[in-house]
Amino acid sequence: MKVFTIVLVAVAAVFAGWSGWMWLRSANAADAYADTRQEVLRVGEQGIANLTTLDYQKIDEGLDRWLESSTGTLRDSLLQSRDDSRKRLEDGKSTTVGKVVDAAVTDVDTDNAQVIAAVEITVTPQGGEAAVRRNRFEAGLSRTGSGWKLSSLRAVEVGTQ
Amino acid sequence: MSVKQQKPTRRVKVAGHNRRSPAKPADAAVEVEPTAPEAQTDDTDLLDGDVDEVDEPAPPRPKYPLVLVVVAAVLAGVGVFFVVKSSSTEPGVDTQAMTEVNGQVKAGLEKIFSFSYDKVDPNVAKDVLAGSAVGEYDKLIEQVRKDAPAQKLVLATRVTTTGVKSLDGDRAELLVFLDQVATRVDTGKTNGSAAALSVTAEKQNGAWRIISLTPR
Repeated sequence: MKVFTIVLVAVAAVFAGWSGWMWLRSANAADAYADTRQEVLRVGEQGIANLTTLDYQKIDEGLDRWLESSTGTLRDSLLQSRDDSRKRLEDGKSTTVGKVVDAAVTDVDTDNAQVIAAVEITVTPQGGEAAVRRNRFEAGLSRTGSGWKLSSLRAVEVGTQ
Repeated sequence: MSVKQQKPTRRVKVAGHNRRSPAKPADAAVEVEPTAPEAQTDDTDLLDGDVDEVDEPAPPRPKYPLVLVVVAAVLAGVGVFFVVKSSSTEPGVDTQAMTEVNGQVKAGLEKIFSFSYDKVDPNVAKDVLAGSAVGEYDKLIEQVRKDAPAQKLVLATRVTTTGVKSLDGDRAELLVFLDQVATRVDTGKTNGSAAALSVTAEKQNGAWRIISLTPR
């Protein structure tokens, strides 16, 4: 009986200690979660703008920025199509500027997130008139060693969801 | 957790009268020969008369485990309190409110941007919109409404994605993607279009209302 009771107290004490620690941790995690959301939104907006912007007069600078903003499969495919992209731009001689007019986080956990954005894309051909298109984008983000980066990007067309 | 019952059982063992109990010699040695009547309490079938005496000689020893049991209970209680606390503070952002505003804005938008030319309800937006959104909505829908009867227009709107940009108490900002399908019943032509709306919602009397609508 005595031994049993002592064990009971010990178990209860361990439980109380453990749960107290968990509470402390979750309180910190709560702050971290709100911060993460903000960070994801900021990086998502910037990344989507970067990846919808390209100036034929500064091709390499633009393509480098694409790679800096991306990770994973998106980065791989951008890297792979780099020469094609450059050639297309050299031939087309147009400047494309993407401006995120609104964005929101739709999903976020510790390592992955999703951001949607309404984007105004202005395409200006050399010596031509600028044309504005409105697009909807959805970007997947992943946490990397050097911060959040885009791991996927797609235009959301009608009926794709 | 009855201390009283435990006690006699052990003593019976000690006395060696009880054939049924599993022997525990180590314990037994400590408690040599306690009060005789108590010893029989376990074997009530043998000596019925002594049963009521069990309560009487409560020795001082039981109090000590009892205190420990209380301490254990208090510690366990504190632990449960922490667990409850930590599970309720976890999200940091009010995910429940977020789900709520997402759902209600989605339902509201689908309701006000879907209609059939033959049953246009002028009050459809009454429960959904408030403030400047009322005028913004009228401006958006005006032309479609005007053309609807002549073209026999049926407009179906589906919200495909909603994202909460910010949520502060009773006020939320969202970005919403909508797919609209307009069907002209007279020609049978269908036309789909993609739309994005920036929405501000406010919780009024327990329900989220859209107070501002901006097409993107």
